[in-house]
Amino acid sequence: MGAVRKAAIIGIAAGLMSIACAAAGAEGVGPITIAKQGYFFVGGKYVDTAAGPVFAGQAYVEYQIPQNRTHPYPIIMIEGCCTSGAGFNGTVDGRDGWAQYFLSKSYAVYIMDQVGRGRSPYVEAVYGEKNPKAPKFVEREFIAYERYNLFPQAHLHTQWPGAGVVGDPIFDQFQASMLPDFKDRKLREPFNRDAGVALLDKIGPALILPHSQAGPYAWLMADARPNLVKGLLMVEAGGAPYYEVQHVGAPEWFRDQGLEKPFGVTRTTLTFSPPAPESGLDIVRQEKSDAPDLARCWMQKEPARKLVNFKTIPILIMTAEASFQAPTAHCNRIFLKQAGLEHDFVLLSDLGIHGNGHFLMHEKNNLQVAGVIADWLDRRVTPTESH
Amino acid sequence: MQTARATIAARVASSAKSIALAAVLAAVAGGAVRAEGMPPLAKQGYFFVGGRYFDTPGGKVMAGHAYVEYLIPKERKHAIPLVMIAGGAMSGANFTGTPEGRDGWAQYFVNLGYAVYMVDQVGRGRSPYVESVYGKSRLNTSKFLMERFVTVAKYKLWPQAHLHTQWPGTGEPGDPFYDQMHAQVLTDMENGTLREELNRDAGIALLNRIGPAVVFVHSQAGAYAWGMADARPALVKGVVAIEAGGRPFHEVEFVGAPEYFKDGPINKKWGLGNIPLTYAPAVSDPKEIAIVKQEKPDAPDLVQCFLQKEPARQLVKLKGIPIMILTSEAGFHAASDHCNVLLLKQAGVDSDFVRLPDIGIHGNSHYLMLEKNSDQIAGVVADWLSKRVTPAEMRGQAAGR
Repeated sequence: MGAVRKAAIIGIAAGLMSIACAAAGAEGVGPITIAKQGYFFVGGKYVDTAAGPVFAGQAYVEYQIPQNRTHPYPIIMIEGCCTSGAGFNGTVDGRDGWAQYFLSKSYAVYIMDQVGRGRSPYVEAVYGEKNPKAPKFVEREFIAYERYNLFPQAHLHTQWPGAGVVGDPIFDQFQASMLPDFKDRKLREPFNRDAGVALLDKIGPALILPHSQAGPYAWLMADARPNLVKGLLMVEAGGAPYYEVQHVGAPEWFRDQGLEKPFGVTRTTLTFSPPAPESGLDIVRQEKSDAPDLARCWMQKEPARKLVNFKTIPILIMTAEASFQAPTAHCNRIFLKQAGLEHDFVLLSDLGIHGNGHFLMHEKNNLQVAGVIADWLDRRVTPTESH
Repeated sequence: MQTARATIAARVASSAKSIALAAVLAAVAGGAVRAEGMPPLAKQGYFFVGGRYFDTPGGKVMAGHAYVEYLIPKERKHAIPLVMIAGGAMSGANFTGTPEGRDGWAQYFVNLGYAVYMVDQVGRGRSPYVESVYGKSRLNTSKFLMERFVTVAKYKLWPQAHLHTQWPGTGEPGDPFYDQMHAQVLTDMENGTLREELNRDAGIALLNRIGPAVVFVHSQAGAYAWGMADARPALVKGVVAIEAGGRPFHEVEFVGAPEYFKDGPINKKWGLGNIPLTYAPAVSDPKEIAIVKQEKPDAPDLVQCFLQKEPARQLVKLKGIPIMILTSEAGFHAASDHCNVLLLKQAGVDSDFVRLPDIGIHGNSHYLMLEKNSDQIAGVVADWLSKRVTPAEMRGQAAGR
């Protein structure tokens, strides 16, 4: 109930915001003056290989600090599968991205290329095999939902610029940005957690904005450094808790794949009380879904274990109307509630923002969506910044 | 023969001297401490150029494309942007900062009112490595980085190496600046010819998209600049070749005193690279280019160059493009970059050869954009651009182009 009311409040603010953004949309955010820009690497160590010592485990972080910075907490942006931080630096059709938006709102921005991704070298001797993403997979799973209708909300997708299919120039720009991923999904988490923690230790208190696959890294970073994480901006982050869901189209829509995240939102353990068994949390399936177009969630058996390390961090869970995460995003809400964490759950469609898919930072209304995040920050984080 | 070579050397030397004088002044200006940061940016972002879909046994993949990020100042003072391409194992990040965290060359040139475009080579950094098309890759070890680039004064594999003083920190693993450098080492395509072809083609796609530009390359990217200029001479308004390419034709192996140099295999069969250049008379197979090794090096601490047998074929597409060849005092290019100048001259192409020690800038090695005096060296390039490229730009504007 509380969450619904909160969503309504945000809705009014976002309505105004969207008008402002629509006006600015054509020319983007306008000129920005950068007091300092650069990059560094965090984490990593020397590892002996057959060929000699190489460096592995590090992540590339680029940053821009605007001259008119007013917010003490910078935003750390971490892209999901399988792109680099570039996705925050502009849209695939060449408009300003979320980095520019938040710079224009006087935030410093730190963008991380995941370990082994983009400018963070892929060290095969340490990370193992790579997993590239084929163009048709990307078209079907990430972009052109409305052409495949594999989940109930797919047909609502309208915000992708261009046709969204292989051969369309804007889709091709997106496909061009796809980088190979760790085949070992479990291994990816500790590497990115450690690099993320090293980043927090270097720059101090910050907000974390992960997208998609990077969701687990944000939870793990908050668990490891609760005093340094001042807000979690979970944008289409993490997917379904526990079991991966396969989308198979009508009438069945959803099918369980393997148990992907035994600790709910992560593959790696978090600090629960009482502590979670090594094999993961004890879980049970909802008997009925919360609505006909939603998947049945997996949840902890009661009494549920609580997440104790980061109870007071403001958390935003934001979900697009037509993303493949739309049928399962509410399961994250159940997870957090059971784990004792307050949060704001924002469905963009509840705010009157319709038609977005998963890669909403590239979509036509990307600055409008960023405005929702900025508005949330103004209400939940800015008042505490001076403390 | 002997006299022809001596004449070439003399002409190179005199052209180097004229630019040297001016550059000394630039170096003084460049040495002044500059505030960090950038003036207002009208636009920043990125895009991909080149590439296409390939059918592979594993299915369709996209390959051949390069990531390009750009910074465009609001007050642009030069119509012609800079396209910066980093060398082996490095990404465009070479240009956006130093291991110590100081501003990089991109910020330097944005401050002068240039738009800059930085390329991650095909298969490098944010340009995905597509194994099914590019084949195997390799990753450098600390030993190679130290001997070749960072800790060269310790290993002394070439005669100038002991003069290296400009690297920040000890240059050893565990030193924070060395570690930052090693952390950015990316995998490199093993097939050098394919790498040159793919990067030339992506570079051409970039020029077609943004129009006339100065191509600004380091090290391995040298061959791409020559290939791009050869294919799009009207769009390349200058080539800034920083420790670029290496010795024409035969690779040099650096083996330390007393011998220092050994001839490696031919790794630039077209002279400046492994990809075709337009010669006159025309060449269809690079084996037709007759080469000869200098009988004696031009100085005791230099390699013997491989040049064309006279009468030399001419590189007709490169003629008239302003070219700067810039070489450090202590890097491994110090012993061989003059061979590029000689080769170009012989092929009818003028270039300005700037050896940093000749203008009083001492102690740099190969990664000079990351070294302590990086801004000073950017100043030398900026000065050259203002003399060789900007006036042409003005003439172009006056003519209503």
